[in-house]
Amino acid sequence: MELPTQLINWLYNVLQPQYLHKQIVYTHVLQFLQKYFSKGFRIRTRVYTSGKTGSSNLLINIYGKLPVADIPVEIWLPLNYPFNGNGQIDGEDGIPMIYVVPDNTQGLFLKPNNFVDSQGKFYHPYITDWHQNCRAGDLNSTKRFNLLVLIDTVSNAFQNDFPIYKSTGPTKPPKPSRVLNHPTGLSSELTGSSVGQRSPPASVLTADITGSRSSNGPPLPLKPFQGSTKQVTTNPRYQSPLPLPSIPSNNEASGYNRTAGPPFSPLQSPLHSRNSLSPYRLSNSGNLSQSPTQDTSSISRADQSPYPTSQSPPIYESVLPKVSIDNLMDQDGPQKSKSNTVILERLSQQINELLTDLPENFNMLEVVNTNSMKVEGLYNQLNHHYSQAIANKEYIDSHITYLTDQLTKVSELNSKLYSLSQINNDDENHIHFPEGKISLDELVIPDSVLTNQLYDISSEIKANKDLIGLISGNFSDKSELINDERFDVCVKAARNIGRDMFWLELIKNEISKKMSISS
Amino acid sequence: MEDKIIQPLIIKLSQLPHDLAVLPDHIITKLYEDIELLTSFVKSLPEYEQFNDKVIGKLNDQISKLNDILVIFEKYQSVSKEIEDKTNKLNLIHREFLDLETIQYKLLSSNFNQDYQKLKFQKLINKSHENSLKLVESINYNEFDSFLKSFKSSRKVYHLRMEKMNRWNEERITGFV
Repeated sequence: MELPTQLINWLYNVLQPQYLHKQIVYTHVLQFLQKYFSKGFRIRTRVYTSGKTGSSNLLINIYGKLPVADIPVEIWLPLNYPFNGNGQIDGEDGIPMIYVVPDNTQGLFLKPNNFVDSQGKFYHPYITDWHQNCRAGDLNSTKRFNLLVLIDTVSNAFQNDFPIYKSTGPTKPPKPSRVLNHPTGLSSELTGSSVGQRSPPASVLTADITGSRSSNGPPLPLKPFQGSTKQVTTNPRYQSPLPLPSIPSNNEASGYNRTAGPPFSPLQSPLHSRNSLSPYRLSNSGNLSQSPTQDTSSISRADQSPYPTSQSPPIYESVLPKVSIDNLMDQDGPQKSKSNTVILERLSQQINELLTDLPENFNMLEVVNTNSMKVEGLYNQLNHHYSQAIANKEYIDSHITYLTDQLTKVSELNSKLYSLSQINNDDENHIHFPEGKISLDELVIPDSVLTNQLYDISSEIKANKDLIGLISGNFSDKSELINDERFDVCVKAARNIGRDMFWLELIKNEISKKMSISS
Repeated sequence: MEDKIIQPLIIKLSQLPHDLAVLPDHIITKLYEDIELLTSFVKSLPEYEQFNDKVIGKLNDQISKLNDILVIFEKYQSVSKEIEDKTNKLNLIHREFLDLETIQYKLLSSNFNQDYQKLKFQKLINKSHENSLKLVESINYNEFDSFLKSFKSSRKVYHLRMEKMNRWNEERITGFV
């Protein structure tokens, strides 16, 4: 069966984060789905809450109906599947958990038995064996303990002991299996007095047969057959059906069935023989040599209406002829093709196991994938760093250009300052700047007009005093200017100076008053 | 995602050669029971060859990427060396700037330092005084009135400069013009 690529990819991705033995889970699930995907089994993830610890995990959940009897089951794969022991997580073993999940809305209810508890959980010696013998490191154990063997085990177990029953009433609880536990109860059903009661399929089928015969079916079979039917039903150890008196090839067909198909369990043979013994089969098929080769699908079809209700006999009547028609169609050619298909499936399974063991297919592939991602990440990272380095180089370039330019300007300014230094040394009356020059007298100026006037008047007063001092011989070490020849001129000059000084002092005092300073 | 990750090889039943179906069962059984034979058979399947090609392609991609990484390393080293050179150049520029800065401070100080300006101004005052003395020494009594005016003017300049110097020394001025 070709599985969708999306499903395979989904499974691969789901296993990566949590499952401990990804390779084994991957192989087992794919092998299982290759066989059972076409038969309606699907896969999903669901939260599973442990009954032991109460912790919840997101687990793989495979669900579908068993082909043998349309029994809906769910298989949960723990995180440390398939090994029990050291790899324990959250108190759960690595053993898969199987639950029978009947759809109550369709009138199907759980019927606990030897293999199923009241919660629908499946128990079996195979599970116990798995628990005890499937250890990590023992790779051969994964060939004994896998989902394919498990589902076969479940199918076989439920062929013998049906875990669900069908109820027509809304809330009626299931009745106990009176047939298996109380053989005397079965005899009453076989007489046709209990039509409409629910009971396990193995007994029900027999009851239906007799019931329908008594009401509107074809003529009743001979008494020895009835006796043998009772014997079959009440004695589970019965190994093979009684041969029909007119069909000598029945035993051969039985033998073929045992070799071609899976070995029948003790209860399977009575069911099988019961179909063979059915008068419907005798009348409708006319070829009973095909009936023992009934495959699992035909069994399931027969079990689709195994529950005796008031309407059950007509349903059963409609089923049996269909089985006969199918058998008529399945001649040697298809049988051989089916056998070939089984072998090819087995070949495909072996190939995939071999592929799983090939290092280049899984372990090395994982290394290749991991390295590829690492190399890709490293390349991107280095490329990013390289781009940043290029950007940094360009940034530094722009800085160097700017700073060099500024440095040139500073050098030019220094050159100008140096030349100015020479000029300023040479010129005593001015200060030279790059933009021009300024007189030293203008370097310090009064901050107001009055002050300027005051400075001017004060200087003039002092200049007049110096002039009088010079005339009278009190200026520096100079001799006096006044003498007899220049007496009049000097007196006249002194008189004028005195008059000026009077006015100057007067103005100075006025300014001082205005500026509120003492003279 | 599919491009980046190669999924493990699974040979589906439909992918097996159709010729197998015509082989007798015991031959097929023998095929899968003999592990060497089965291995050879698997390795001859086109799917296996395609898978191998895909892995080889992925490995080639990795080699190509690794070569690219080596090229990036070389280019990165070159850029790194350039950046190192430029950093050294920046250091040189900084050092040169510090030298120029020192020179500039000295030049500014020699040109426009206040003490230097005061000294220069003081020289100017002294020069004014000397001018006055020179006027006295070169007195022309025939032009006595003009002499008196010149002397007075010269002394006025001197005293005005002195007054400014005094104010400057008293720091009663607000600053340069």
